[in-house]
Amino acid sequence: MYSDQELVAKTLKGHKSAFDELVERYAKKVYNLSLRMTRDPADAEDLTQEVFLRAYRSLNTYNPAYSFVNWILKIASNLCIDHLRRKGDVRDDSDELLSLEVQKTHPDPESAALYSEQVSEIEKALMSLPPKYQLVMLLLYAEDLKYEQIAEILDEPIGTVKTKIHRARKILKERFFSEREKDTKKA
Amino acid sequence: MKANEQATSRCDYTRLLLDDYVDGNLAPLVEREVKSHLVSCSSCAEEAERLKKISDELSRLGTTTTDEVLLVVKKVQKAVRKDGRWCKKRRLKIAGAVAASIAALLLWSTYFRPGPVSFEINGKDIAFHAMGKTVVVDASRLPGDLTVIGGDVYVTGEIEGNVTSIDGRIVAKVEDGSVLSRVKRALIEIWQRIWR
Ligand SMILES: [Zn+2]
Repeated sequence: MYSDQELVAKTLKGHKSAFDELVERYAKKVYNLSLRMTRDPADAEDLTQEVFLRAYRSLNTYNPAYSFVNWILKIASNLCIDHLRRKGDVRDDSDELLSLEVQKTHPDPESAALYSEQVSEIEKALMSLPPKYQLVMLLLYAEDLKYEQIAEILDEPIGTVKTKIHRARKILKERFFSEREKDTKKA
Repeated sequence: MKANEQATSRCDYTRLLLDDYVDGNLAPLVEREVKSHLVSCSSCAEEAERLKKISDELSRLGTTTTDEVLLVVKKVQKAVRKDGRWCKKRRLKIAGAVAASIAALLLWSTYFRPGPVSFEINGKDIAFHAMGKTVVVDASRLPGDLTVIGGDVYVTGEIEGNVTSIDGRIVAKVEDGSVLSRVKRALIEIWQRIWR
């Protein structure tokens, strides 16, 4: 079996089937991340395609000294954030805004109603975070990555990543448990 | 055994480490310290439980079936295979009622390499030759498919139909306003030629 780096080198020499192999290896990761970020299978499919097309077109800029999967997840992360921005499902990512008082549970009442039926409490809490914070938490737990990998993907120092994780988890915790307590009282 | 509910400096110390404890990032010695405090302090133990619960819930977030992924893989491979040959085709998704807009605004820039370019909009050929080779299309005004032959195309906004570039590149969105203003006047003229 070829390494990712070998497959990249083969692709650059014109062997397209080598790139097919890379798609087979990582489409699932990219698709899952896109799906969790967008919560829309059609969007996730389009994004996945876009991620690999961009990777393919800029393959010569990939540095084989780094991990290919981190590189592709970096492209995916950027596109997911862009996508949410375009959809207007985004507030300011500045840290000041990340306080419990300012943030609503969901920015858009219509989609909130749409989601409330099928979306779990944890997803609702997650959606209430700015996209960059959602992304960090998904990379950490849903993708099961290490802090170092996340730092590489986000191009941020590990300290910054840790701070984000800490704050995001704190807010998730508050929201998740306060919603559940509300539910228990109602019941 | 009676739990010590009072917040102590031991608690403060433990709380600082809880994130790393839950993620399994602590050195064995420190981890043992935290563990032993959690046994004797119900309030820190509860906090740890809650943090753990959040991580567990997040790791359980749904994933896709193998069949779904296979479909995506095929689609992506097909798209990539088409790309980088002589023809590139890309579907850009549309938000909302673009159909109402009538005009396609073709912006023309002259600062790229010279050569003939022609367009088709909805199959209607608009054979057009110009100095530049790059078209900037305001997609919010484009009612259907756009095909550019022999030129590069930039798309601004989202487009309903297909954008195809034959023997050229489809370049991602233009964000740079200066590019647009530089070429605007020339473009309006082209636009009029196309739609009148
Ligand atoms: Zn304690």
